[in-house]
This record gives sequence, structure tokens and C-alpha cells, in this order.
Amino acid sequence: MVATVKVNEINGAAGSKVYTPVGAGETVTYARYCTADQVSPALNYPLPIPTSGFRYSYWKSHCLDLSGTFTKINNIRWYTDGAIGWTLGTNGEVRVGRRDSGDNGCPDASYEQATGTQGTTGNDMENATNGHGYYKGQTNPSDPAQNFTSGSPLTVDTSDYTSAGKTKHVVTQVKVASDATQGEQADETFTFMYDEI
Amino acid sequence: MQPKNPHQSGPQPLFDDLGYNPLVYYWIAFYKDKTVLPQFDFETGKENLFSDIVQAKLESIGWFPFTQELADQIAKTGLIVYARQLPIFKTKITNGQRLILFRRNTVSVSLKTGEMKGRKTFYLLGWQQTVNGSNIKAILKIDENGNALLGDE
Repeated sequence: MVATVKVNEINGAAGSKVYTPVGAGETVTYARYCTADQVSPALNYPLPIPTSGFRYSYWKSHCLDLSGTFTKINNIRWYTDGAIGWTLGTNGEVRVGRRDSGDNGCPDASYEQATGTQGTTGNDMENATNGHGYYKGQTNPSDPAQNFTSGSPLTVDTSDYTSAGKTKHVVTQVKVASDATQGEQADETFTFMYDEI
Repeated sequence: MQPKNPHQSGPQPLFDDLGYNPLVYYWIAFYKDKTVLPQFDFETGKENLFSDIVQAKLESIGWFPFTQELADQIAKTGLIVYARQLPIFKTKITNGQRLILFRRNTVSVSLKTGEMKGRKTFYLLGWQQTVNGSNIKAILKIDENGNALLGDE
């Protein structure tokens, strides 16, 4: 068999986190960015546009779940099409967690549950007090996701995997400004890339 | 639900994600003693792993498209592969050259809904060699339609 590789969203408290595979035939069908730590919120907990400043979605953590038979999987990277067409307002963005050096993926053991005020805003993942613990202390804790393309992808995980397991996580968040446009946004994709032998 | 061959023409129904992209190529290693090691046994369809290749004995290696007979045999093991008319890609491995052979896979997901948007696989083949202290590489990147690009990464 070749490797079976599924994208998982991770939710819940760190001590009892839950991995849910996404995709057709899976349980996650409406994994929207929202203001709750929910894997499939559908249209609940939308991200309200603020009257001033910014609001944030709860951050999302995604990893690859590796199983099946393979010799080695490595060189795990992540990218977008380079142009996320969401109207998020001035300095609004879809952002992805960055480290100052090494892999940008968050190790499974460093996973942190998304937090915030449910239904209102998530916590800014860069915030020194209540941001994401693996990223908030970095010089540059996040970058716009659209900076990462197939020609210049985000390095997620350089580990060699020789048996079943979960890779490091990509952590993303939506930041919306007061001049954002309300309503349904265009469909966009993110892509994991990995080498397999 | 059984996936439909995505290379067939016409509208494609949504299918349950298999967790992998069905292969269109498999490797065959040719040894200096004139024996071969295929990724999938021609008779049984059983898979040999990359780690089973004895690189010291290697004379050449390549990516080969599946015959329908082999695809049917492999299907009995539970793995879905596609037999397509594609070109063969093969390289010699000479003394001092180290084999490069792997698949580069992508899996895309909707940023908005979390829905699976598709998978792609590239088949890479080549060698690297240390020449005057420098690592020299030649890598052929082959897509699922048999288009190939020669480069060094």
C-alpha cells in the first residue's frame, strides 16, 4: 500500500485534543473560520466586523495524519494560490504562524486550543498575553498566508516519518478590519505538499 | 463509493477521498546481475518498498505505467491504481551516483469550508553525485499525464 495521508483539523483542550479528518466523505464539511473552537460550525459563530480596530477568528490548527505502508514521508510544506480574494478590510488578512528559525509547524506537543470570546472574537495569535504560545514570542509570529505559494511554500515540518503519526501543525487565523465587506467570501484553497518513498 | 478515473472525460462526481491519489506510475529497479525488483510484483501485485531496493546492485531504474492486468492484480490487494498509456522514464545509475526516486504529493483543502479540493502526484527520478566537493543533481519531475521537466530540485 502507499501511504494514506489525510488533512486533520485539531480542536479541544491540549490534554484531550481531537483530530478530525477533513474532506469529502469525512465529518468536516463546513470548517469555516469562526469565533468558536468548533471543527464544523457551519454558519454558526460568524466573525463579526468590528466598529473599529480588528477582530480575529479563533485560530485553526491543521496537520497531516499519516498511516498505511511507506518507507519515508518528509519535506512537508504548505501554500496558497498567492492571492486570497477575501475582503477583510485594511490590514485584514488570513495569517499563518511563523517561527524565527527552523520549521514553522507547531509540534503536536505544543498544540494550544484556540481561545477568545465565543461569538465575538478570537484572541490575536500574536498577542503577548493570550496569543498562541508557540508563536507569540517570535520576532515575526505570523505572515499573510498568501505570501506562501507553490514556488515559495511555507516549511512546515522537516522531520522524517517512517511510520504512522501526525505531522507538525499549520496554525492559521483570519484578521478582519472595520472596513471589511460583510457576507459570503470567495472559495480559496490551501495545499499541503509532501514527499513520499 | 468507488472513485471514478479522473482522467476520463466529462463531469466528475464527488467521491469519497481515499487518503491517497491513485498511482499512475510504479518503479522497476534493474540490477547489474540482470534481475529486476518491481514496486509491485507482476504476478501477485504485492508491493515492495523503496527500502527493499539494493542500491549497490543498481544498474538503472525507472517509472513505468501500469498495465491493466497489473492494475487488476493490485486492486485485489485493496490498492487502486490507474492503467494509462504513458511514456516510460528510466535512468542509469553509474558508480558514484546516488539514486533520487520519490513521489511528491499535494492535497488541497478549501480554506473556506474545509472541503477536500483534490490531490496531485509528481513522480521524481534522477541522481546526485559529489563532484569536486559539490553536490550535483539531475532530477526529472513527471506529472500524471507523462509530462516531464528536467531540473536540479
